[in-house]
Parts: sequence; C-alpha cells; structure tokens
Amino acid sequence: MRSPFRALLLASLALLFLSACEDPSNVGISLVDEQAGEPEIVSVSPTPFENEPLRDVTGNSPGTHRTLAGEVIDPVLGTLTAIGYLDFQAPTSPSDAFTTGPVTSVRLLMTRDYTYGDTTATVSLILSGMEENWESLGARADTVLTAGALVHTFSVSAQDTLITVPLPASWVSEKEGLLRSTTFTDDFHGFQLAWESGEAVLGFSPGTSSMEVVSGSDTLYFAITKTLSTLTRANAPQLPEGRVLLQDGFGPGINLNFDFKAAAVSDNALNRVIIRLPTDTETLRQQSPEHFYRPPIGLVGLFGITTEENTLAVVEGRLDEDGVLSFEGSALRNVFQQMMLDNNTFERFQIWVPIEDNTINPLLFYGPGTGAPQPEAVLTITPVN
Amino acid sequence: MTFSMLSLRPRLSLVFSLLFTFSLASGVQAQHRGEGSIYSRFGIGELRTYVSSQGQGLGGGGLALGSSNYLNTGNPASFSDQFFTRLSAGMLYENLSAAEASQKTSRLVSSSLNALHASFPLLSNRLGVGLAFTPYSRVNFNVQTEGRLTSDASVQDSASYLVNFRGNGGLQRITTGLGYRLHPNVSVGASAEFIFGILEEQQETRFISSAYVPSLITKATRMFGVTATLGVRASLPRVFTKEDAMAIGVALTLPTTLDATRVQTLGEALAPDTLGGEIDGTASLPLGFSAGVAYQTGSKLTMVLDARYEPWSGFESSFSFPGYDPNAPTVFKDRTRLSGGVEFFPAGRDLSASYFKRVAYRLGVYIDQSYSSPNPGVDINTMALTGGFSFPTLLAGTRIDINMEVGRRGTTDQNLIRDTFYKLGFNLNFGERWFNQRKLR
Repeated sequence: MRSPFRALLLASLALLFLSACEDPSNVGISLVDEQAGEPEIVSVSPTPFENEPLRDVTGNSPGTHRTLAGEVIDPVLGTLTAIGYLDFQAPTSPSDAFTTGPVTSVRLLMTRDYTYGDTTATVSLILSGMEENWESLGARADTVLTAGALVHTFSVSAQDTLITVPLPASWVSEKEGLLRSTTFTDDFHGFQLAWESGEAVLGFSPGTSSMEVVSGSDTLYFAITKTLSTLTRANAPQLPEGRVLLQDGFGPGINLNFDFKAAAVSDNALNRVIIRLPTDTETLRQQSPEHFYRPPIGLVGLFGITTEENTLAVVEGRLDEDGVLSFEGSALRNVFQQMMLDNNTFERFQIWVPIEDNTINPLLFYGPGTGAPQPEAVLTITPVN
Repeated sequence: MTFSMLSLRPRLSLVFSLLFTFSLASGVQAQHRGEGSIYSRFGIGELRTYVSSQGQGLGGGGLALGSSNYLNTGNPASFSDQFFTRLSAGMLYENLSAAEASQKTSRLVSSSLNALHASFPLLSNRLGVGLAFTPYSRVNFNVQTEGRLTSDASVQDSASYLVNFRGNGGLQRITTGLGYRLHPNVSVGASAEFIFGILEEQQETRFISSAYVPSLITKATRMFGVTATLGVRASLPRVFTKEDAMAIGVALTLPTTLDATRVQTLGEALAPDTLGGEIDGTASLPLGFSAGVAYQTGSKLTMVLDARYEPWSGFESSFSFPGYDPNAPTVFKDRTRLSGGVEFFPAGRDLSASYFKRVAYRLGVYIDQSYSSPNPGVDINTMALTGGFSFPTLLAGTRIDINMEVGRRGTTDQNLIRDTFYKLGFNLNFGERWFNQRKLR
C-alpha cells in the first residue's frame, strides 16, 4: 500500500464519523441502580419569617430620589409622616446679565408623581430654609435634621402634577446676593418641606423639579442636587393576626431563612426554586376610606446577609396577578443549591424594597400558621441516593 | 550503535501517523467515545482482551505465537522474538444493538483506542523489550428513560424530563517487559504492569423546559496498582512433518490489590460540588492464567488454541460495585475464555510473491464467560467470530491489519439484555531495523 498514512487518516475519520450515530433508549433500564431518584417538588416553609426593623435609605446625591412630604392616617398602618429636604445647585456659567442682577423672582417648580392617602386632598406644606449643610448620600429615613426659619406655606392638590411655588419677596430680597453669587452651591443649603394639613403624603420628582430664578434680564433654573425624606410612624400598625408587614421607607423589612436540614432536603440536586410569598390584599382593600389610595409595591428585593453583616442583592421579585410575590432566578438557585450542600454564603435573608424608588408602599403577607396560603420555597429537587 | 538514516521520510510519516491516530483517539484521559453494553456497568467493567492485532483476528488468542512482526503482550516471553524496532497503534469501532425480551432495541456505537505497542531488540532475536498501552477494562453504557414532573398547578406547570444513566471510563494498563531466549526453542519473559483508571457512573436529569436546571450526579472511582506477568514459550520443530512446528505458551499474571478513591459529585463544569467527601478503599484483581498452543503446518498455515482463567470469585473490595456488595458474599464468577483461530499466509517464505499472496487471512472464534452478571443465577457469556486481513506495505516490516468481530453477549431471559455487536479494528504495525552496528569493513 503506497501511503499507509493516507489510509490511516481515512480510517480514523470514518471511525469518528460513525461514532456520532447512536440511539440510546430505555433498553436495560432495569439493570441500572439509580444514583438519584425521580425529580420531585418539595415545599419548605421559611423559619423564621418575621419583621426586621428597617430604616430605608431615602437620601441621594445628585438628587435622583423622590422627595416625600405630608402626613396620612392609615387605618391599618398608623399615622405616617414624611418630611422632605431639597438642595439646589446654581448653573455653572451664569450670564453676566444674571450675575449683575438684581434677582426679582424665585419660584419652586415641582412635579408631583406620587400620592399616598386621600387622592382628593389638598395638602398644606411648610417650606423652611436649611441653615447648615446636610448629608444626603446614603442617609436613612430616620435621619434628624433641624430646619431654619419659615420661608413660606403653600398648598398642593393631590391631583395636581405641576406645582409652582413663588417664594416671598422678602426672602428673595434677603437671599438676592447669594442667588447671584458664584458660591451659591456651597453656601445655600436648601429647604425643608414639612406637613401642616391634609390627609396625604406627596412625592416630588427631582428630575423634573427645579428652582426658577429671574435675575436681571436672564432666567436660570437651579437643578436639585440633594434630596432626603425622613419618615416617622406615630403609632403601631393594627394588623390582623398572623400578618407580616413589609413597608417601603418606614420599614419594617422581613427576615427569613430556610432550614433545609430540618426539611430533609439537604444534599440533593436543586433543579428549580421559587420563593412564593402570598399577600393579603383584602385587608388593605377593605380598610380603605373613600378616595384612600395605597400605591402598589413594584419590585421587591431579596437580599442575603452574611455573617459579617454584609448585604448582597440576590434577586428581585414582583407581585403576580394573584397577589403572590415570587422570587426566582439562576442566582437564587445557585445560592439555595449551596445551602442544601451546607455551603452557606448567607446567614439569613431579608426582603425590602430596593432604594431606587422612595415610597411608603406596603405589602401585607400571610405569616406561617395563619391557615391561608403560606410563604414557602418551592423546590424541584432530584434526590441523591 | 547508530541510527539508520535510510528512507527517513516514509519512516517519519508513519511515526506521525501513529501519533495522529493516538491524538485522534482523544488522548490518555478519555480512551473512547460513544456508548456500549450495559453489561460493562458491572464489576470493574467489561474486561478487554488484546494481545496483538494478529491475535485479534485469531479469536483474541495466540499466546504461543512468536513473531517478529508483532508484539505479543499476552506472553512476555515472546518479546525475545524482536528483530525490528516496532511501533503499533490500533483503533476499534464497535456497533452494538441491545435487545430485551419485549423486542425493544437500542443502538449504540463507540470508538476507542485499542492499543499502543512499542518494542525493540537489545540482542536481535534473543533479548527484547516490550512496551504497551492497552485497555484492561471498559465502562461505557447509556440508558435513557423519561418522566413527567407533575405538581400543584398553581405553582408550576408540569414538566417533562429525560434521565440518562451513563457509564464512562475503565482501567488502562501500561506494560513494560523483557523477553529472553534461553535456548533456540525456549524463551522466558517478565513484564510489569501499571493498572490505573477511573470508573464513572453518571445520572443526568434534563428537563425540556429551560426554567429547570439539569442535574448531573457522578460517582467516580479512581484506581491504580501494579502487577506482573511471567511467561514461558517453548517451540518444538518437526513434530509430525519436516516442515511443521508446534509451540506452547504459558503466562501467569499475579494477583494484586488496587488502591482506590471514590467521590460523588453534583454538577458539571470544572468545579462540581463534592457530596460526602472522598472515600479511600481497595479492590483486588485476581491472578490470570493463560495457556496456548500454536501449530504451523509450514510457512503458510498457522492454527492456535488458547484458554484463560481468572478466579474472580475471590474478588474483594471495600467499595460496592454494580453486582458486588462488600457486605455480602461475592457473586462474581470465575472467568473462563476459550479461543481458537487459523491464519493462512499464501506467500509463505516467498517475499516476491504477488501482493494478495502476501496478505495474511485470519479466522477465529471465542467464548468468554463473564465474571459479573446482573443476575447471579444467570451466566453472561460472549460468543463471537473473528476475522482479519494483514496487508503488506511498501515499507518492509510494516503492515496494516484490519480485523472484524461479530458476536453476541447475554440473554433476554430473566429481564436481561442480549447484545449483538460488530467490531472493526484498524491497526498499523510499523517495523524497521533502527539500531545497526556500523561495520568498518
């Protein structure tokens, strides 16, 4: 044979090609011992599933979080009070006409994009000046700040979207030089918005709100640079027995964990996991006065807490049409698989609303033992022998 | 001694052929592709018998054969027959149809590296060295079933899934030995054998819906150990006629204990999760006794008969294996293999004969009683016909062997499986005188 190499190459390729054609079936299935059982679905109840005192982060720079202000008496959740704080920055290159002055008019232009409470209410708010600098980035809802002198009192309809608040001429005259100066951003510390009357908490979007300043022949719009909302609850919620409250802003959050050893599902393969938390929408719906509105919660986050008390986001969930808050995803499955193998990344889990949206929206969950649909982790596992 | 530089290019191309074949056969760690018999699941796998590509066509025997064209790894005494430096590589393709009593069948194919041999003479036709890499056992099966996951309809839709039960791996053997011709008619030899490998069983559950993550559970047992084979070969010329000759070969493989480590893992990728930690243990391999006789009527016709016996009933291990429970009396049986074959070489000693007269034609048969069985009351026997051709090439000492095997294993009684298999083997045997003592005059 002239070229054994050629023959061998052809033969090898033929063997590899032919190896691709096969059709396994269940012939011989009775001769295998299973290393694992058939997949099955197991429900594991959380232990614990309880409230965790939580003060949400409501402050941010540069002012991307909604500012809340107002007060409402919620028949289920108690008296809820919000105080908002705003600070502004001057444009970087004002015209000569502006800096020459004089300042003749200052108006707050605000966009209302949130209402909790009586949607027909007229809410009176007290605008006070802030005399000292205050931190907003990472500031929590229980921050205490001291306001300065009263600037103005104004009313806002809970149905109005664009709010215009002209500031008093006396205040404009007092701050005239500061408003035109190049040190405005550093020397001006913004306003406090406090509730005076009306049964609603209103939210103002910083992205579309500003302070209009007319100086000389020029008009400039000072953007919001810092926002913060402080929240207080004057009395405890009156919840039906067995209910667990989750509320944005005020808290509480929810602490939960799963004991896979006790549930006898450890050391198994996890194919899928869904955490299902049924909510009680009836209680909130039934105990709502006319025109009383509680905006629904959108995204809810499931967070893992390490033994060093570090917090890591695991997955986000939403309410479905049946009022069940569900968490599912590959990150959650990976975490739970490791827990089932006794490789715990987290000491426990917490649920709260991500800090991207400032609201005071509530969710009422059925707690364990209430007899209603229970919170559970629904696991699809392949038991390992 | 100096290396002969004659005809370098064809020699190098053949060496590269061997290396290409080896790499195409997917390397050392995974010696095979595809799946085979469910019976390979039991014990430490389906025991493989390969002494040489010549023996493969003769029913797998040929213990008494001496040849300068092949390295006979079944009997290290035959290592003394080396004139040439030899390199040999072979691949095996197997097509298997498994049937059960209900007439349901499945078809499985696999390809594997059959062997790598190397040998060279230290003293031509007197003292030779043999090196070989051959499979000792093989585990490769694939059975599939399906199911449906039903659940609370308010939670998840029901989902279909497939479960694959697979076996992979096996034990390999690296042999190195010496053969010495004590007397023109008597040779002795000894080889050391390093046996190693991984036996894997996997269960993979895969869902049709992408909402579910598949699970893969693997039980892997790594094993390694050393044994030795002692062999003797004696030839008797002019037994019945002036042209004939008879040879007898005997080989004894010593029993050994393999060290083993078993681990069960969950998941795929490079870092699966370990379940329960690694467990150390041992497993014994019994002795193997082989005897064979070869008779040549002249230079054209050769007949062989061989027998091999391995007392697996004495197998012991701290691990459980399919078909073996360390806490119960062993149900393994002693393995017995009987084979016979005939080779016809028309050209005899006429090196100038036509091409097809220089082709060797082989036919053989064997019966092999397996040591393991899913049902201790039922013997699993393999019966097969073998055949082959050995083609000469333009390079002296180099031949291409093609071997075929068709056979049947097992039974459909007692809910067992009957395999019908077809095997095709390709072997390249390269030989050349590499070490020549230069003569000055």
